[in-house]
Amino acid sequence: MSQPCRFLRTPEAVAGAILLAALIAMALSASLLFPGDPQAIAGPALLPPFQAWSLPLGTDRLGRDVLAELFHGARTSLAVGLAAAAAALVVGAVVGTLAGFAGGLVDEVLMRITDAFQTVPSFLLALAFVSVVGPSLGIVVIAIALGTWTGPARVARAEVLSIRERDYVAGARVIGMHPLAIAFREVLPNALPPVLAMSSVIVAAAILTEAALSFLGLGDPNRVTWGGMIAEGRTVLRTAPFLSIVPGIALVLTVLGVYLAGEGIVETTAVRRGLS
Amino acid sequence: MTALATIRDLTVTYRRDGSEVAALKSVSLDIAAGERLAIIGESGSGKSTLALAIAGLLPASARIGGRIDWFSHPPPRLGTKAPPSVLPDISPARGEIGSFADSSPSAPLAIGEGRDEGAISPLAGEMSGRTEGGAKDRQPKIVPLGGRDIGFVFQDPSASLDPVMTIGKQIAEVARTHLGLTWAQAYAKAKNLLERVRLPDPDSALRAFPHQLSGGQKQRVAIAAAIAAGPKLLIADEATSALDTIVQAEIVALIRHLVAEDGMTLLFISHDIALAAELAERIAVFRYGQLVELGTTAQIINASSQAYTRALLDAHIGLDTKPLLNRAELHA
Amino acid sequence: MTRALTLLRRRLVGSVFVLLIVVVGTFLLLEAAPGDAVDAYIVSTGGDAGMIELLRHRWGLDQSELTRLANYLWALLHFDLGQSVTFSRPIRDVILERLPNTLLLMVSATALSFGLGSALGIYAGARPGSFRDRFLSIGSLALYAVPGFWLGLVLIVVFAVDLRWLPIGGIETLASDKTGLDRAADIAVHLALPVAALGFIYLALYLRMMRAGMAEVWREDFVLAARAKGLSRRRIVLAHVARNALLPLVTMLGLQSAQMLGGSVVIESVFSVPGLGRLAQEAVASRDTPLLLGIILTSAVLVIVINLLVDIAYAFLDPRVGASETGT
Repeated sequence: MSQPCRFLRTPEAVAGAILLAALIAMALSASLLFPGDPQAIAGPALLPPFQAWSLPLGTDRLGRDVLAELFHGARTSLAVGLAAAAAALVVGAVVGTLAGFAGGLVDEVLMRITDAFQTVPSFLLALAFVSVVGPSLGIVVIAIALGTWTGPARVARAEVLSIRERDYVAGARVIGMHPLAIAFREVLPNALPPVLAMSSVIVAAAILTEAALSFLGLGDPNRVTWGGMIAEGRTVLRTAPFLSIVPGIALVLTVLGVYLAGEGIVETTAVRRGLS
Repeated sequence: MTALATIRDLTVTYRRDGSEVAALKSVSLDIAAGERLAIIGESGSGKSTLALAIAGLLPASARIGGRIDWFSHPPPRLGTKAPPSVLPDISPARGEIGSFADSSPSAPLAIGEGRDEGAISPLAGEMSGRTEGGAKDRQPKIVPLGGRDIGFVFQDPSASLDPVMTIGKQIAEVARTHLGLTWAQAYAKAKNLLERVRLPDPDSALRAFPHQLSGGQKQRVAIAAAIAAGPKLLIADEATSALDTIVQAEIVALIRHLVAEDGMTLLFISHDIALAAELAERIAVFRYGQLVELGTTAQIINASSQAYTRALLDAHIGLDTKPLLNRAELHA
Repeated sequence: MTRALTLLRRRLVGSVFVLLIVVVGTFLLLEAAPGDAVDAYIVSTGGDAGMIELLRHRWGLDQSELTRLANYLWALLHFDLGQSVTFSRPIRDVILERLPNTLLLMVSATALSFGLGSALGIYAGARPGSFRDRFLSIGSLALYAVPGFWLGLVLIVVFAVDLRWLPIGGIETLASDKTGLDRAADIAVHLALPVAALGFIYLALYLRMMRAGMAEVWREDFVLAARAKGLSRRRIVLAHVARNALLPLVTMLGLQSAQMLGGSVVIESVFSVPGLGRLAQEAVASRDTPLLLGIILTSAVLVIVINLLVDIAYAFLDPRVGASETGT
């Protein structure tokens, strides 16, 4: 059975793919469907949902279109989630490969640094970083990556430790390849699969962390974020709880989609190791 | 010969990745009560599958055809003729021989019925067995229950013992489950069993964990757990294959001794025909899931009618020129 | 016993080194902030250039980075974390005041998530592939996708606003003179929702781990051997399968502590619980970098201590850890 076929046979994976597709569609179509500044006043304040055709999800405390904010928020979540995960995976893979391949003192030092990063709660680290440097999209991405690169690093190192003893590595050494070249051209590509298997979890965590940072007011102030929307809605929690609940549901569905689709991909591409 | 179990047209098919693999094809065999029967074959011969099928341990994905019928017997009286053992009877205390299900009449029983409170794994659930030949009997049945009626010794003692449980507990839990003992009584019995399997220092062994023992010691523990509830059938599935040669011989001798003492029927699975010949009264040779030859040890070794069996025997002539087995020791 | 002690000693040495990296790293990071504590102070209280210089000198902020780092490290050895700009009190005191609340929150949430999570995981893992297994699997995945702070808000809306069963925030009723059991009950009522919010997220994690772990253990030979022994299903599931599947979960406890500490920042914020997490947020808001540094350090120490305790517990649970062959 081909891989796409197998993927499509798992209901969870399909559900995840649908959710993800919806999210991507939202993000991509945001400017199309809701041109202009989503943070501009669009109508009377605190308009309940399903009351006006032009404002299907109502308005928030300041009169902004909730649906427009929702769509634009999807962009931020998606962008930050993917970028932060990519950064974490790249940094982690590089560090892990270096540590595993070089061994000795380099390995020790890099591992202690990894330990240090793992010891500090990643959210606190992100918090400190954003508060120090100032909130902007790029900074948020770096802040999140700072806390999550250690996982891929350890996995990569473990893989490299087992790979570097193999024959094709010895062969490369014999023909005189530079160690760094061996590390990154021969070893790293083969160490990647388990690292990439973590990607869906990391993307999901990144999306959630970004939301939490925005909730605390440390997101990019120029962009609409779902976390920010929830924070705004908190002030009118008693009278319009809807404003906080809807973005949260969007977050849950997004993260769920990432998990399901990610797990589905991992399942279908995983090499079958023996029969159960 | 009073039969312990009769196997008729047993067929076992595994389903793997959409394709079906036939592990056993229409096997028919009788197991006599009190005998020592060896099942010999190379890998893929289906011998382990046969053992698992008899013990009711096949996975739920296995399809089973044919039938295995069990017959009850009155417990053998002590002092009944036991084959002359090559080893002196050292063990002073004898464990109780478990109670047999001799109350019910010899009711043939189809596979697939398990006790409700019995040990069915989630994997088995209901075995998808199909019995040929129509309706199953609905009389009071003897269902052979693992532990109580059948003792099973696995090949790799490092894997068949729970790594985080003391070996004392792993033996005691069998006694407790089937004999209704309290934990204190069960531990006492476990200690007694450890003595019977000749494990040194049973007291500290009770509190030890599997990783602290050697391979041979672990297998002794596994044997002790297998016979703890006094089963009438002991199945040893390649029980010595993972051990060193000298230890192998010790374990074989131990099994032979225990089987004789408790009057058990022994089913000895192995790829080593020489080993089997020392231990068994009858030998069944399997190949590619089919029964190739069945006969007494003397017949098989000396006058095999099958080319395959002869090939197996020939492959066993090693550097030593001593005869394969001490024929004087053989009993018909 | 010696086994545990050597483990401890080796870990402590490594931990000191790690802590050093944390201190230096965080110090340098916070140094990168444009403006410092004095700037923040001046913004709120006002003052002229002369005052700025005076304060800088008084607080030692006019010295070189290296000097300040050295001073800081020296002070650390005396457990002196410096002075908080916001509170005008020693940072150590402020932190020690808030720490118990966070610990209480974390321990309760961990107990909830680990206890209930493993139990449900065992329930699901007892019958892999069954309906309840799949239901709990999907359900836990959905729960794991929920942002903690949002769950907190939802709980507030449902239980505090609509049903009015539980208070909205805080750790106890203010200005009340409750003591003893009364006080404990009051605190418990106040912490119920925060603990639930924090705990439910990680509950999903333990549930899934236990479930997956059990599925793997079911395939082991010793489980087949247990079936062959005719043990009751209950005994096989609990004493053999779950007991073995538990081990990776215990390790996870240690790793989760860091995450949970981070999670407590938002939860304490949502529920106005006066703990360490909330303190961090306040420090960020008022640009009180020494305080933030102190909090990060404290968190790191906490994580190290928790991991150590977890490792010791693990050594008790897994007899294979650090054991030497005693048999022949």
